[in-house]
Amino acid sequence: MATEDFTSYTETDPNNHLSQTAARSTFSGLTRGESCYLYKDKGAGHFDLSQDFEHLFDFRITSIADRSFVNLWSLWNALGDLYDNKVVSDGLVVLFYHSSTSTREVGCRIYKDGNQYSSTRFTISADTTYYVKIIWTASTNTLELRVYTDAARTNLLGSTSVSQSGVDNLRYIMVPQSGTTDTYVNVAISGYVENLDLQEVSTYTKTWQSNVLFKKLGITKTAVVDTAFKKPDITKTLLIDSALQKQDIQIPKQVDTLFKKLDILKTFSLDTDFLKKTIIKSFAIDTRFGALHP
Amino acid sequence: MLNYRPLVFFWIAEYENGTALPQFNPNTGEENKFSLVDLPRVKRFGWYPFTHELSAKILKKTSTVTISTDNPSYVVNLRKGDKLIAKRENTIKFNMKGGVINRKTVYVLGKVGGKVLEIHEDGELK
Repeated sequence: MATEDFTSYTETDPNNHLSQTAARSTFSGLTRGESCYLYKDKGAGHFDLSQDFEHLFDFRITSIADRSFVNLWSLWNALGDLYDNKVVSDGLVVLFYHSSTSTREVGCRIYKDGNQYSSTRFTISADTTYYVKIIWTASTNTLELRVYTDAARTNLLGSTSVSQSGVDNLRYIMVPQSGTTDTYVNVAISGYVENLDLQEVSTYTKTWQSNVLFKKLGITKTAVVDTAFKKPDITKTLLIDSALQKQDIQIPKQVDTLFKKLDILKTFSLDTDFLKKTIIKSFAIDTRFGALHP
Repeated sequence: MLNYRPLVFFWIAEYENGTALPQFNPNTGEENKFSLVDLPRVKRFGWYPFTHELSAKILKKTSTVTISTDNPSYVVNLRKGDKLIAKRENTIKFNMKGGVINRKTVYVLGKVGGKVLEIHEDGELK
């Protein structure tokens, strides 16, 4: 499966703490006092939470300070650091945190309507490469984080999950993303995320090569032309008008002529008929009276 | 009895990079939401009639009834900055007792400031 090319992503990096190769996104000395992230705009609703999906990536934390923090992977509908985004956008997040007890922990969160829903976190080590599988299960609205110690993802170190319904479909992917605070602003963290694989082809092919799609559907693409848009309205109106105009003229003419003919004939035939009857009737009476009074 | 009007057209959005997003996946019958369309990148958008095969897949996958026809296809070409108009307008007529007299769907296609087609279920233009 093809992994993401981080050189096609966009930086917001005011202090020059980010760098990329095609396969790796590196953060060096990233603090909680800066708004810093690397993102890709995948298009509105690209991450469709009504569908299951799995993302894979590897990561390694190379340098940490107490209370340092980074979102290794996150999906949003807004551009900003964690603390800007969580009040304006729904989101899914995988985070690394160096807690007050000096343990290094990973976990996941869902943000919905300004609320934060957190999984439990589990401990990992620094200077170790881990292999992550993120699983979104649409039927239960669950975000699950699994961390493995081998690239084949057979040795599971730990897993955790969180569920929340009604999360919006999401647009931007960020790898990594800082989280600004008013405290611990100077604590820094360094490391990298690499081999990010969204596995979009294997889970569900949404977008097709145009020619393949039309062939599959049995639609001859060349025969599909926008003729309906090319026909000018004015010509059509003129044609219809003149056609109707012709009919208007012809129909009354024909009708008039016909009725005229009928009128003449009708009158004539009736008159003749009545005339005949009158004559015959008169004749008969006259004859009868003639017979009675010779 | 169905409580919705079966679709007789489905949409395909074609992008400038030679890819396309269909409303229904022809392999699986699964539906893509219109919100997935990356509108600024669309160069052609069209309403297309269902084939028997696609209708059968959609019915099997989603239990949604669609009607295959030999209706013509209608497409609109879009240039950079054009705003697509594509929607279904559904009309339901009720009698005085509240019963449905008839339903119909008109498929609308065009772009803002341009000609807008109203395509009826029989494939004819209004």
